[in-house]
Amino acid sequence: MKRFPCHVASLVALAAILPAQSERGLAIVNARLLPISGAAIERGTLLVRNGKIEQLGADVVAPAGYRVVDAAGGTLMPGAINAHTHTGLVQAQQPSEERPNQFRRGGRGRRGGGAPSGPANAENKSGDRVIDLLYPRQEVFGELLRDGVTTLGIAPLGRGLPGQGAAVRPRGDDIAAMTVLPSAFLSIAPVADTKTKDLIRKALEDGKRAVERRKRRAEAKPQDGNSADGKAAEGEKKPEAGAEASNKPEAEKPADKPGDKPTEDKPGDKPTEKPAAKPPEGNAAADARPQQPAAPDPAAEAIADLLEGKTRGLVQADSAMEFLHWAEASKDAHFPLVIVARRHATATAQGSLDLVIDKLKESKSTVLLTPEFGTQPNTEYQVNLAARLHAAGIEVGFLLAERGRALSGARTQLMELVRAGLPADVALRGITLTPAKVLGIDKQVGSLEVGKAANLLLWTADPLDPLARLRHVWLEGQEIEDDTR
Amino acid sequence: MNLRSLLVLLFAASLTSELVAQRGRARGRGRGDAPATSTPAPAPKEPAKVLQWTAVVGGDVHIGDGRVLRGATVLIGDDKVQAVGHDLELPAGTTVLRADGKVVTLGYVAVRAQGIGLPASVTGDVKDAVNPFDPAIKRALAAGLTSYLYLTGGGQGTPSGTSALVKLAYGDLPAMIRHGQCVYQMRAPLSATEWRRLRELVTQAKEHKAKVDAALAAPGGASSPTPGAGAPERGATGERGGSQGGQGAAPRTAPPPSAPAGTEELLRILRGEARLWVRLEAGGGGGRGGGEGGADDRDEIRQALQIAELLGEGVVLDDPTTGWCLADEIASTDSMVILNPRNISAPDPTNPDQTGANMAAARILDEAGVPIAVTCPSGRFGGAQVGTGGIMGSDLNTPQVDAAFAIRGGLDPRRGLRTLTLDAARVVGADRFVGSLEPGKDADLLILDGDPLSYRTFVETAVVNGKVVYEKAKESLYRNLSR
Repeated sequence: MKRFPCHVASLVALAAILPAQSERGLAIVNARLLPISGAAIERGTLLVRNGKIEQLGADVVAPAGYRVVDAAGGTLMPGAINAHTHTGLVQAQQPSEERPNQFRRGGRGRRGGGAPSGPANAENKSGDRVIDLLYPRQEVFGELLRDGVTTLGIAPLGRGLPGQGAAVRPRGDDIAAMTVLPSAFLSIAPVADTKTKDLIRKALEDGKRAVERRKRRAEAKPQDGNSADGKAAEGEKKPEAGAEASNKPEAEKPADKPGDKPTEDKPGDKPTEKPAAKPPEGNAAADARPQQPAAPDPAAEAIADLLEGKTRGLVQADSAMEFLHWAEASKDAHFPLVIVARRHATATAQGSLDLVIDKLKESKSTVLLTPEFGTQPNTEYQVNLAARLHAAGIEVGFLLAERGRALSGARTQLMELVRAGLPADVALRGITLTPAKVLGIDKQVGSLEVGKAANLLLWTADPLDPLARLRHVWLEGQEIEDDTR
Repeated sequence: MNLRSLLVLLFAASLTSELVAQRGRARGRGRGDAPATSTPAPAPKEPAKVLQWTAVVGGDVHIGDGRVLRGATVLIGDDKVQAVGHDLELPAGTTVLRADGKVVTLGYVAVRAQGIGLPASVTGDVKDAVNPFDPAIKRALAAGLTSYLYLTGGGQGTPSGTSALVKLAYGDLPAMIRHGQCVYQMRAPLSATEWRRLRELVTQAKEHKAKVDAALAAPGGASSPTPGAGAPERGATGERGGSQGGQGAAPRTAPPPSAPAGTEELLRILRGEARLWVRLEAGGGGGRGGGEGGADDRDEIRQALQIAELLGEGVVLDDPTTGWCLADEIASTDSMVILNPRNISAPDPTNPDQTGANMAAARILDEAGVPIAVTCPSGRFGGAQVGTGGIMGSDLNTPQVDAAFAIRGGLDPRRGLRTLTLDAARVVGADRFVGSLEPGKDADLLILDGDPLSYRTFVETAVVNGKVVYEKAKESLYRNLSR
């Protein structure tokens, strides 16, 4: 009661920011809390306020006025995250067509049956954002959400460099409401063919040049930055890429004469804004102008972001062979790397990823894979790839099905992997915190921590217990109804 | 150190002289040995610093010419053979593979194979499509194969096609394509128009080559006497050889006259950088094997030999039926033959002495001095694969049995292994790299549990590029079988 005014104040303040959120707090009591980021709390309470986790612990008491949900000893964990899916995109129903590959089917039979139609449509579309292609109100999102998948990393379809993936919540009437992070990662879908590898090599070269341009600009910037008004200062931090892009035509120029621009700029225009800097420089390089591209290349800028570590590259590689081809094509390029093995279980004729475990480790990549066993070539011997990668010190996350009971399906598969040696905590982290990191949203979601979004799953027992049922799903504090549950 | 290098040199000298001074050598200009431009027998590389020494110790080493060194050692520096002999001094830190009581041979070269680490058709560069983890690689290694010729396309009126020497370096992506475009393929017989076209191109190519050679020979011409010698090692694989000029074959110094259009492949053949295969397309017969058709292909063979004469370079006759009838003619053009001793066909009853194919073909050709590469059966019953189905022994899984059939037909047993190693390497234009135990060549070795050409023999260990890539005891294929 004492703290009530305080709550009112904060409520008013927060209500202004998050008008959609309910004002009444939620207390989930008598729950086994699996925070993922830390040790389990055998019996505790978790408070939700304004869509966020307000508090959690064994000693937390539900304040008056909070709606109380009695977990009855059930287990509460963060919502599941699928960091790489084509859900909601056209063609998502036929993933087998997506990346035809000569070696896909192991064992006997024809290799390379038919000309690989793939390389022809490999393109560098790194500037494209999948978020711009997504239609929000699709049944499938509700389907996944009801099953406990609270965040999706939507990856663009295509070969080569199909574009930028987005982190979305599977709910909302428009894209803005769905979006968690519009450019969460750069999608890379290489395969073993010259055309795609050359495409990747060239794209990385373009990206490196864009990084160089940025560096030169940054060197020239301090003078501008000090005297510039708020607009410039504001633009400096966040929308780096956007600012770069709009100023690119000037940035292009020094590519030819790196030394020229700074010396000309500095004395020339002290406090004036950018456009004024153009004319003198334009004169100097007038002859070079015709060769300059008129607009910045958004693809190169996106790859520059990647090379500067601002986003992560999600590289599809189902097998050791595909990983080696990718590694060869991307030599010398270093950036936060995630290997996505959507079909590792059927790509055994190309070698299981554990055959290149040392190289994977060297690349410091996280590996996302379907929660399946692979098989050793020519045998029925199963390979617990996830367990092997984890044992080697590689961070492992799991991919969920594109639609339907995605989490329910993954849960039974994870039980099998755990039974075969994968630590249970790794299994659960692999569908929560690890994919959150992959998407670059681990400050917002992925674990039960104060301040994170209240994406919660309440199970009747431990989620890896075959008898456990999903009782409640909350997305940012809002309960998701499900009549079939 | 001194002792070893001396040994190396001694061995190199003795072996080279042995291998080079083979029968038929005196004829012509040293058949098989690529002419002027081929790299001189890779001498022991003193300056190259060896990082990893490996030694196969104690085995009976078949050095390839019929001689066996009992209880000898093969010393490997990184991925190359360094020395072979008794009592070799092993550098400190050498990894020793014991082969006591075992037989050590070179890995076999398959002149015709498919579905091993590469798809049937490749768009773009072969090395970008390699699957170094293909289970078929293990099966091929278990069969004793350590490299093979990948060949697609070609077979037109002029040399063309995509080829590469594929090393079965399991798991090692960059090592798998050893040499690109080592073989071009064309067919015989040719139509009159095709002959005219070929003659024109050969003339142009020879003129161009003479010009380039003159430029190189001129004082101050080129410092590097072997244009393109190093170039084909890496790269230069996929491309059809079409528009982009001879795959690094053009000299880089001076102002080189650009090669006339359409002569790139011919130039590489004339420089000894690539081998020309001639596919014999018998008029009526059709497929080989099973004794049907194609009983007489002497005309096609003679046309192929005419191409060899036109070029001044030996060609490779791919599976001639009546080659044995024309053994001396084939030998006189420095040409070579690919055959399967088990592919026999009934002679034409009207001319039984000059038609058909029989088991003695290998002996007759060999005695005439024609290098022979033995391959697996083709046609109805065969397949150049290491599959897990079909009829056992009809595929690439038992190359030693095919060679043994040549011996059954009368081939000198001491020359049996050559048909799978040195001569096979020459046929695929890769004898600079593989095919013999000469110092400086690739260290591709087998440790066998018995006589190399016995049907009972299994590969116990296969070494490619100095690395163990197959161990029978550890692979699921044959570990349950013991001798």
